[in-house]
Amino acid sequence: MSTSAVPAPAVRDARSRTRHSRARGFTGFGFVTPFLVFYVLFLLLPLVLAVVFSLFNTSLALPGLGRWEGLHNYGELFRDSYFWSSMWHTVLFTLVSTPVLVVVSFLLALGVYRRRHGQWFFRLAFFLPYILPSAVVALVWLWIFEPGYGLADGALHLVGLGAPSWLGSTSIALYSIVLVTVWWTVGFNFILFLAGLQEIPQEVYEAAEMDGASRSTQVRRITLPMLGRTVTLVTVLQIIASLKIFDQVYLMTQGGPNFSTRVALEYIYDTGFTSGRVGYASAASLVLFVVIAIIGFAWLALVRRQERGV
Amino acid sequence: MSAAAVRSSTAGRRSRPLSQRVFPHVITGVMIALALLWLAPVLWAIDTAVKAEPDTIKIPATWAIPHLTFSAFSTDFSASDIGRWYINSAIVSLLVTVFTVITASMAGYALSRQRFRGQNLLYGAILAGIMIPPQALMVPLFREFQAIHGLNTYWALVLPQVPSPVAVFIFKKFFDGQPPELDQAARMDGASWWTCYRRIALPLSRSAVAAVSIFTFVWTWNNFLWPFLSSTNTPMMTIPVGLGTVIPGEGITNALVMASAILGALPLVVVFLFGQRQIVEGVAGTGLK
Amino acid sequence: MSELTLKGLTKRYDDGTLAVDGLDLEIGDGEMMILVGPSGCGKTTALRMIAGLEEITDGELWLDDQMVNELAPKSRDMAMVFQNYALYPHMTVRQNMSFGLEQAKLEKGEIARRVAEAAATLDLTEHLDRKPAQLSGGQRQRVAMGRAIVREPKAFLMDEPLSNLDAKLRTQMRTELARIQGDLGTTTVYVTHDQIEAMTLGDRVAVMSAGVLQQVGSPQELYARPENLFVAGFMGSPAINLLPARVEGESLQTPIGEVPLDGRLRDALGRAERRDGVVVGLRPEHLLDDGLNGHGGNGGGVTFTGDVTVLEAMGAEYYAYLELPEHTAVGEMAGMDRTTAAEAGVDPVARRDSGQLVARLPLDSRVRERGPITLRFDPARLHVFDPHSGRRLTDPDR
Repeated sequence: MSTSAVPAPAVRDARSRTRHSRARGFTGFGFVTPFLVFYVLFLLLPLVLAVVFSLFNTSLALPGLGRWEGLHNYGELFRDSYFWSSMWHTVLFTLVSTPVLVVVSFLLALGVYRRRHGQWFFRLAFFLPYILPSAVVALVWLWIFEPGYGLADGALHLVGLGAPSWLGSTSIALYSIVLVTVWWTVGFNFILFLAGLQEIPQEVYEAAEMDGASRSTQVRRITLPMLGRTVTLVTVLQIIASLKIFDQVYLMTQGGPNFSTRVALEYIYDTGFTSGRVGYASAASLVLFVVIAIIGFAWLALVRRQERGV
Repeated sequence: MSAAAVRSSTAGRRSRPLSQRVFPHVITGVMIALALLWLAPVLWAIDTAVKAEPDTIKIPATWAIPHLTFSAFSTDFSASDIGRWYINSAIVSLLVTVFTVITASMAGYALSRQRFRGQNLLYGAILAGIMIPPQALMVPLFREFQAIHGLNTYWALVLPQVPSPVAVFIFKKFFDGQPPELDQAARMDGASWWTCYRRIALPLSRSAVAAVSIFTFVWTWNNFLWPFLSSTNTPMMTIPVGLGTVIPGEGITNALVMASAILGALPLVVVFLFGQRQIVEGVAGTGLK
Repeated sequence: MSELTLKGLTKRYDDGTLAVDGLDLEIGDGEMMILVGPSGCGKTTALRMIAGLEEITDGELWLDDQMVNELAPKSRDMAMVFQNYALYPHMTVRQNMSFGLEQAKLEKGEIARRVAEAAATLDLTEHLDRKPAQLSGGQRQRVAMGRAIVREPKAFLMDEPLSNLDAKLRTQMRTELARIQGDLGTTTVYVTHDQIEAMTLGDRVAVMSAGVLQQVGSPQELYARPENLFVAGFMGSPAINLLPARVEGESLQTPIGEVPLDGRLRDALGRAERRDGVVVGLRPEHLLDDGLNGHGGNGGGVTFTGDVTVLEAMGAEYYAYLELPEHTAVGEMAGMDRTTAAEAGVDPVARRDSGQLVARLPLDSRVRERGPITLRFDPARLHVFDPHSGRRLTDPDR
């Protein structure tokens, strides 16, 4: 019996007979390469550059890296009360906006998802603001908050209340921005919840009804547990989005009054672009980056555990 | 059956407590009120834009429109660069969308269908990329473009917005859901990987392509921070950046500003009204899958 | 035209699972080879290795005089019909059938000619411009066939192509498929789990179990001379009756009577590892109604009486199920691995535990449900197997 090593007849076809396992690996990389080029140039490289810049006193006005600073920038950063207050504003904004945005969007979705008629109207009303550019949102709300002439004051006047200084008071301005943000972005969470709610099969509710469960019991015992993954997802996406707040603040208050709404990205913008301290701003960026990344990975770990558990 | 019996049986059927009968209607009322509340700012902006300037500063604020006028819109078009910004936004959003869909779908396809060395590592790296907040990296990215003198160009506006790990993730999941036999049949038919992707997988992924396209387009159109940093010349601005410069200045310009805001929002609102379903499904799919 | 040769073809997955273990098979030019076995036996993996969709871990695959182990699927010039057809849902029937030819860069006229011809053969001409979703199951199956035929490949590879059809259509397509394959004379490897399909369709049948080839041969050979217990139990419906037997003096004690040892049986027992016990097999059609005359002569053979527990009228005949007078589990006696048998799907061993026996009886038999019946069988019809190795002991290969 002839054994394995008889390649003679096959030789004529040697070229088309490339080891296709290796050829496969090659095309696999070929398909990923275009994406990888963008990924490396515009996500990884800036990350690496941030690390490098943070070790120098790189300046916006001068070419090159500037003088070696070692961990000096970080030392200064940790002593910089402006940095910490901006981080605190970001955290405060996140702590206030996240529960509101998650709970409100959930309640809105709950109020809408079983409606057979007019659902499009609610989706339109709640989701429409989400597709507006931040600049439009800022312009509209600046006008609404306009002392005296604005809709906000007008509405309070109508019910006989005096109006606060929406964006002019250091104790209120951040909450006004939370209000704007809720109006602007609640639609995104609303849609995620709506999709999650509609994925729960109708039969489960029917079974619960047969078992004599009331509407509120159904929400507590069926809807919420079955929506667990969506709740986690929405909450974490919301936390990350809130930590990245910049547009509304920059466009409406530039961090004022008296820095009371200056958030982390606003601070990074100010030091990096207004003061031109690229190295220092990079150090601040990395601190924010690490915070956001930790939350992101904590979520991934949580999802993994949920998937394994369920 | 006696009349009394009939009555009692109807009563029995209706014997749910009053609260349970009224409750749904209360909810409906509340929901409608909330929806109107959500629409109010938009309506208020429209209301202001069609007023004559002096009518916008009546105290207390009023919805009444004494003189309907569209002069604010025409002034806006002639006085600002808004036409130019439209074109920039359209070009940038289209290019980003096309590049994102192509690169992300190719990568997603390879990760889903092909087997190659380092695949898992690569996929892990891309997943981790979802967690990278690009906004936090604006300073080094700016420096990158500053170094190559690329600021205030379409390149600067478009290229950094292309890499979207989420899009790769969505495409991979979508391709995972396609029966692998289709690819295998095509390969038995003599098709190359590229042909499999181009002629089989991609045409069958219309819903994923639509979702990613719409989402990328909307997101790019609305993106503020990076275009704001990278294009400082007025003619290179996109709509959101340009509108950011229209913050009220001298004189009474409320109607003019609201007209700008409405014009800035208009294209996407129109897109949204026509493609509500697709957009909503796209968002839902992005988050859940 | 071409021959396929498999030499020790092996597939081991990364997790160590051995899906196909040293498969040797020669498939002649124009032959229809059926790979049959229960699900998970490795038949589909073997087919996919031939197709090039699955990498070959070990062994060699030869197409004529070329070793094609490393050749990409597209360079092997084989066409495959998938179980779920894998029709391109966004293309019309015509585009589906042309796709492969376009990839081969055939000229337009030739493509059109081949598609028209195949469509005519398969009765698809009027559906050429429809999409798969608009077709019935049978039509889709024919499009999948057509897609393979137009390629005029060196070999057809078919992975349970009929299993998604309803019973009637399946029988019809089976005949059709046999006719087309015969007309084209294209070498074909056909995978199925359905032993009836295997029996009716193949020139030769290869039975696989747990990744290992059990026996190759013509359908008749497999049926008449099964190489081992697995093949015996797998081929034939209703399945063969397998019973424990012991040698006592000059006879073989079985639950259905005492069989005197003749030369044939003595030879068989001589080949057994141990003489204490064996497994005997008897096809249901070899159990005859002793009450009927002229049925294989009178007086000859062994008779026994049992009670019919269930009687199934199959139209042309009866299937009579009998409680065994004394029942011993073959598995227990032989110490066989019952899970292996159970996984194999045929479960010849476990079924014995119920102590049932099945006979195929003609309609003029006066058999009644819950009544006694006397059955007769010719000892020459008995298959004898070694309970330890499962090997056939009677009628060794010449």
